Amino acid sequence: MHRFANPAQFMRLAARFLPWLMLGFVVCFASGLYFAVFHSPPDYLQGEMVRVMYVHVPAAIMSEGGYVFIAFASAASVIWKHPLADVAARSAAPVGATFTLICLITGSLWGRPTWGTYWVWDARLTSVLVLFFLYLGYMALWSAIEDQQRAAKAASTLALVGMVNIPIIKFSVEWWHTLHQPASIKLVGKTTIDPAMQLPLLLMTLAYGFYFAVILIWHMQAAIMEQRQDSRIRAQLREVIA
Amino acid sequence: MNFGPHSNFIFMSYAVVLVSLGGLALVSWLRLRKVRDKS
Repeated sequence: MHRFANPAQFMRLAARFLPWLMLGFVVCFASGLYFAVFHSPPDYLQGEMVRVMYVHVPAAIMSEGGYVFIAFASAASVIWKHPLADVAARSAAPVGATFTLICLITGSLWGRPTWGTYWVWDARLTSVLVLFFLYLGYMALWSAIEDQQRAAKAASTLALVGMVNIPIIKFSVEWWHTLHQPASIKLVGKTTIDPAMQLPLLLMTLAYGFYFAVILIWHMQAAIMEQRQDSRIRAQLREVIA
Repeated sequence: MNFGPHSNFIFMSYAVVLVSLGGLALVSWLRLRKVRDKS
């Protein structure tokens, strides 16, 4: 694991895998949109509004997955002091926040015709909103503290404490009475979605996953290059002073 | 394409996704290009 946490090794691997990840995104996104818009049948209850599911549910999966990624990277930073862990965690935050925002807005747009309201303060919606604020707080901490080591420590603590919100989001529809429906896709147990709807859902989830990976790598590459430029400037300054 | 009386909600949802993902990709790519140009 430490071998892959080497920034130079990461830059080499990223350059090799980026084109394939981009290709994966384009193929999955284009075919996912095609099946979602033209091929999937209307739902027996919600009619055509079910098409919002293909952009909303994968965004919800990525928003939670993104936060879990940040928490794991933060744990790696705190425990093993991996040189790339902080860079990875910080780089994932804007992507996760964007997916959470997409989840909230598309959920609102789905809620108006089906529930009769854009927003209710029920457990699922509120806990996802808290997740969005956690993302914002995490990014704000990194920007607010000038000393990068102190910023990393504070941001990692927030990320790890915030992990408590993830099971709350997941089980909110079971623990409380909410307008939001319970999960239809289950890792253990029978999935209650028609196979004709599973394909676009799977393709869009894969597309979002590829997108997450591409943007994460772009941010990490930029951050590593900025760190190298900073250390070069510092070395030159030291030479001038000496 | 006729998605019934609520089609504007469906189109808006897809537009939100395209604009958000496109916007973030553009900003991220521009940042990477700026850093690359500097080094």
